[in-house]
Amino acid sequence: MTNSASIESLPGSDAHGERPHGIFERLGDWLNPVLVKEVRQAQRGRVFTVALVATVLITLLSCVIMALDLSDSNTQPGRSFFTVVYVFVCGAMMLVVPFQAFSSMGSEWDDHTYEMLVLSNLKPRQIVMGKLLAAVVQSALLLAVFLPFLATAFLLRGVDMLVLGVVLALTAYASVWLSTFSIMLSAVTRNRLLRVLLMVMLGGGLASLVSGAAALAQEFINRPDQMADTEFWIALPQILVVFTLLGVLAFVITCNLLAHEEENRSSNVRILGSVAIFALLALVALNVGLATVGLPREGVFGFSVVGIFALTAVSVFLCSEPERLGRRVGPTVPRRPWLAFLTLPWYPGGGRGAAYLLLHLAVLVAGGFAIALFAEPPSYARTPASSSLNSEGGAVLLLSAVYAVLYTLVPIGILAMFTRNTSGGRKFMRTIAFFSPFLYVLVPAIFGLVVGSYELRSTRHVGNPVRTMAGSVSAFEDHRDGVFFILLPLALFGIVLALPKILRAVRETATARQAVPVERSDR
Amino acid sequence: MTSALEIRGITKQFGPTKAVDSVSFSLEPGEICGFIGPNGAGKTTTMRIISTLELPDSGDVFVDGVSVLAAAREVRSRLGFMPDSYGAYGATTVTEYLDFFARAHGLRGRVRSQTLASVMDFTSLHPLAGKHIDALSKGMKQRLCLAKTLLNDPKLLILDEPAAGLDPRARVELRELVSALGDTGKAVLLSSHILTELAEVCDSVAVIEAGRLQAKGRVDEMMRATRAQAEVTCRVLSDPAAGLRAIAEMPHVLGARLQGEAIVFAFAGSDADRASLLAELVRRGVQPVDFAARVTNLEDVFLSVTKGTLQ
Ligand SMILES: Nc1ncnc2c1ncn2[C@@H]1O[C@H](COP(=O)(O)OP(=O)(O)OP(=O)(O)O)[C@@H](O)[C@H]1O
Ligand SMILES: [Mg+2]
Repeated sequence: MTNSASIESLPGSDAHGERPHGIFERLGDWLNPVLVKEVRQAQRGRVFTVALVATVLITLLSCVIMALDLSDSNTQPGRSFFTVVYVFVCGAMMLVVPFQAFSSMGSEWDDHTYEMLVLSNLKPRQIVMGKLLAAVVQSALLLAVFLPFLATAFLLRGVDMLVLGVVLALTAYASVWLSTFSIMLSAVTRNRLLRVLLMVMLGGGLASLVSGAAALAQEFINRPDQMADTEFWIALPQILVVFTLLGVLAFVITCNLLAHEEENRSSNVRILGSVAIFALLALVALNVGLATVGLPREGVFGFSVVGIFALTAVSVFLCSEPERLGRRVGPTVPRRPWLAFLTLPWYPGGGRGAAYLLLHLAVLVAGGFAIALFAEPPSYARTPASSSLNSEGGAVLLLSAVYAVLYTLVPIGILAMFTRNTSGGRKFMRTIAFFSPFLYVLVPAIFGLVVGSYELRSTRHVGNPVRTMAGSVSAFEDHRDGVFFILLPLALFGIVLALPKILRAVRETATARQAVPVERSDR
Repeated sequence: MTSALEIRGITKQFGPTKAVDSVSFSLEPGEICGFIGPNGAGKTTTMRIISTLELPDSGDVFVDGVSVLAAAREVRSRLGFMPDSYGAYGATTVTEYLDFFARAHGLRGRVRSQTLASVMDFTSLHPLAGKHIDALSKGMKQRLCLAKTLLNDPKLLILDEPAAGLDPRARVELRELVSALGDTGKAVLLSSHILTELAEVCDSVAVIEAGRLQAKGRVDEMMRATRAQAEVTCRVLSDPAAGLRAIAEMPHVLGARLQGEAIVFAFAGSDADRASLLAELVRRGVQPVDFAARVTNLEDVFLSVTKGTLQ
């Protein structure tokens, strides 16, 4: 050992190992460290290379067999050729790549390397992004390898260039999206057994997606005129916007799952939720304005209702968060009282979650009604007299806001009185909240069995949203009393339960900025 | 001056077991502290709390003045933690492995290559640079892990059982590395089961048992405190029974008994007291032939402390 001699050469002092730093190395410095590691491992591991070569060989073989089998009557051999190749492209990009991303994240737990990543001070965002970028690199590589085959398909004729490009671009998008989702799934639990279970489910899901995608691609290749439609080009970007928002949500949730307990693990989801809600309203408004689509009033209300139920699902988590601001979050509350108050719904905590839910319900309801003003009246009521907003759609929108409160604030508010806000207690609250829509239907039905009420027993009561919201115009009219005398008071009860929490959250926000964070021990 | 490490009353409970129970102590820069305690005493848990991997139920830890609760990231940039068991990435070479963690710490360009070179120098890893991690021996892996924890030039090093599973030669090397680190002003907290190992390299020891800190102090002071209850063996030329009677009457003598020909007793006085005891025996004509106090080592400190006989 040469300790005494080399002690001067500890970090900071300059010693040996001066390598010339070229432009590539300097660029490489800014790459995500996890990406660099993953690519190096993949290079050395050879698993990926072997899989790649094997896939190409199999594809080649299948093509040869197909070529021998081709009858002269086939006027567009490119199409059959594409169909065969695409199954492999799709399988590699939408099954192998996401699966690899899943196991790459999972192996960090299994090999006990995750804590080393944390200690090396990588942010969760960097870790997840590194894994995702590694998936992107793999996808790009696969695409490059398969490109000659696809070009051959094009040269054999029968395949439209535009269709080919769109199908491939969408496949690449799906590959990245599914990888994001898979990484989230593997971050959900550190329990190996549970993860194996998730892996099996993921594998099944991905396999069925691949077969679906292959069928869809074949459909587009065989009928390229579908892509010539304006409606296709109006729908596609919107679908992409929605899926991209969902993908970002999965990314953000993964980061939160990896983050330290005292970190802010809620604001990013809340902000994203607000963005999603405004994006949804903007898309709806856009479709109302677009002459070719002309979204009617039912559609406007329909989309707003979908927004409300998505918000409800997220709010179950937000409303059941611990009330206290984390020790690293408190100091980030704005100093100005009015600003602190304005940003309150976006800070972590159950009470602030309730405020977030109520605020966004109001935005969705108001936005839905505002846009509906400009939409075509519903088809069944296109008479001069019924241009008012007093339509069934409006009632459904209002009702769904009421149900949103029933499914979140009521169960969580009641359970909060009996359960302690530990991680186990929170899991319990969330599970009950997610099952509450069924409880609202089943409990009165069981009661109906006991007292012998046919209406209750057959779930024809207001606890059943299908009864009050779907069906004919008269569905709502039939349950008017139940809505006014049961649902509304119950929702008000939920809000009343949440009020003290909201008030406490306001008070905590007001004082959080005054407390000086303990960062340095003064001695 | 800010302490390199200050633990303030941390408590951590796992279900019914209190793994750590209001433990407080601190380390000054350059101090090498042995952290000893029986299996399940709470050493690993304490170290994981210091390293921000576990949150204390109550209390706080300050690393170089920064709280693990309020600023975990800053703490991580100031400490190096070598866990007792750690995973390693397969399909990576020694250099690539260190390069990855250097990148993760945000080291770029020339700074990174220099840091890598000096850390590999310090841990003598240069000959292994291109070797696959899977092919390394336990001792080599240990050195690699130590090299990794040095990349961010930490103020505090936490080593959990670094000597476990090392052969005698590798242990000597590790000891040299640790004391060299202490010389550069880094504080080191290392746990170990092999107590004699620590005495030579440590400035101080902290003894923990069942989650509670039993003692913390400088090694020499702790040894002296334990020697105050040294076990003395005395053989006399005259009748052992008479000698036993004479010794039993002396001050500071506890539980004198015959063990074959020898008289064995515990002695609770200082070195000076022991000298006067010997003089008194001679004066009374007991004629001691052998008079040996068993030299205390860290083992005795450990045993006496964990029995609760100290303080
Ligand atoms: N994650 C955990 N879940 C439950 N109990 C735990 C956990 N970690 C530690 N313990 C318990 O806390 C106590 C202290 O464990 P710890 O690992 O800190 O001891 P140790 O001093 O490092 O022991 P050893 O010398 O065997 O490494 C033990 O009783 C152990 O069973
Ligand atoms: Mg241990």
